[in-house]
Amino acid sequence: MLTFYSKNGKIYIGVDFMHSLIIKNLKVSINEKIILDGFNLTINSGETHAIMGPNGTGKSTLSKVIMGDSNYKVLDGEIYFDDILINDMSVDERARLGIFLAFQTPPSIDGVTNADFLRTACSIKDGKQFNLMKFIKEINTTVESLNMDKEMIHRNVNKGFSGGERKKNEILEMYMLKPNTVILDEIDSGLDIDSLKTVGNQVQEYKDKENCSILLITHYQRLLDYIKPDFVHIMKNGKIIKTGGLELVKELELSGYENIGK
Amino acid sequence: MNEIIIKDNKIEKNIDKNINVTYNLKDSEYDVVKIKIDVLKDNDLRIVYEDIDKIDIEINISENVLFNLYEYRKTDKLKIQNKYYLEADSNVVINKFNDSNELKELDITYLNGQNATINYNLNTISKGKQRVDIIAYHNSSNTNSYINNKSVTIDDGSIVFNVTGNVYNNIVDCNVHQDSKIINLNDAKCEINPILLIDENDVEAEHAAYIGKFKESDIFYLMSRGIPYDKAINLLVRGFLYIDIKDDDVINNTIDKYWR
Ligand SMILES: Nc1ncnc2c1ncn2[C@@H]1O[C@H](COP(=O)(O)OP(=O)(O)O)[C@@H](O)[C@H]1O
Ligand SMILES: [Mg+2]
Repeated sequence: MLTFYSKNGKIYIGVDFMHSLIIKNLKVSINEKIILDGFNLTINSGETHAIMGPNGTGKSTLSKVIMGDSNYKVLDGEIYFDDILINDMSVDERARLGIFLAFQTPPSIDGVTNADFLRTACSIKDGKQFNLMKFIKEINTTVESLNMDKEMIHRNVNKGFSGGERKKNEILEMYMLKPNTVILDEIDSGLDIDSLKTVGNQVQEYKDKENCSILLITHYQRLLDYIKPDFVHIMKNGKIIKTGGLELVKELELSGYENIGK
Repeated sequence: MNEIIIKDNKIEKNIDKNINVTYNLKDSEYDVVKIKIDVLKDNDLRIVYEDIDKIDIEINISENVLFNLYEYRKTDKLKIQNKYYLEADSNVVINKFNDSNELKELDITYLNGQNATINYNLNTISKGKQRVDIIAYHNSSNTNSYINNKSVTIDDGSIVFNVTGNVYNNIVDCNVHQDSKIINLNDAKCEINPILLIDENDVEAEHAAYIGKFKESDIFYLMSRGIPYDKAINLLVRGFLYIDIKDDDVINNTIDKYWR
């Protein structure tokens, strides 16, 4: 597809900034238990998709399977990124394609500082172009715009961080790695109202700047005040049962997950 | 900083007047290098062991002295014995980073004076067969031993940690802490044997032990940021084995050598 796209004041023509993630008929199990079954979704650059669904329906499973978590078994179906089948790709290769997952519960990692971790990740991504001064400058400004404590850069990854601090750290990583396809798994949980607003606005700003695609997994409509979805999907029992726009959120509020789609 | 370099049956030292060092070098192949160190005032000391196979060290720490010892070993087979004698109110921190392949180590701490404290940390890359015995004798009341060991196994390496704390009857108000962790990357047979020999009720004693792998979820997280598996392990090993021996480059280079 030929597109005109402006970035940093320049006009680009080409396909560089258009990406697609296509999930076809996905069937996934863990420990012999089938979690996803007949799951279909297509996401293109510039689109924001929200997935809403009750607890335990397989939302986090979906996000981890897209990222390549080998604990889950893909029994059937395909995941394509820009027409490349990525079913058998390693986790790090998928990340380097530009897929980014903000974890529902990011782990804390002993002995590895945020700074070392992100410097390693960014220098792998940028290769010879990696510039340490630029990296330091960027991390500092991003930490500031997320209202994070500057000290966090030098602490071990997520060690002693509150739930909200961990979520902000995920967004910091997103800003540093500049993915083209962003999956946010309940980024709103654990955030207080101020932080929710900061994170929501920062994500929307990132999207406007990078023209990325967003898959927003959430329980609650409040995040959608800041990040406006183009599509809303209701997920139940491992598949999408209904797709619409923002009006679906209202419908959901009125009827609940039990009755929607009936 | 004060430094002693023991290399190839030779000793180089650069020491201030508050540390006395006497030694015997080897006369024959079967002999042992012996070193005696007396620490008279607050001080830091670095000891580097290179290409050496057998050595006995005795360190005496005087009353009320704060002493930090940093050790780095780079050798093939090492048999080493350390004895630490701590007088009253002395406070000793020992940080060791071991990159010898085979290792047989016996470290005995005598907490002889009241309020003496040892904080002992040994991190080793277990590339060959290794066994470390650490014993702390709480010979006075109000003494503290904090013993921390870490190992990552690689190639044909394996490790046994035997850690013993002794507190006799009527020696009161002591702290005895042991923590040993082994990241067993090669599925070798490894052991941690914590032994608490305590005749006194008025003691705070605890031990923790872990033998296992890095957490899969941690590796997944690092890789999800575009870091390849081997580099993720390198980061985790570095985080796990990092210890302050006043030479970070040595640690980084050593880890990069084994985990690229
Ligand atoms: N490691 C696991 N072992 C067994 N079952 C699991 C595991 N992880 C998730 N599940 C199950 O998969 C289902 C979907 O979980 P999840 O994807 O976390 O749902 P959601 O994110 O929608 O709340 C749940 O029933 C959960 O119990
Ligand atoms: Mg979930």
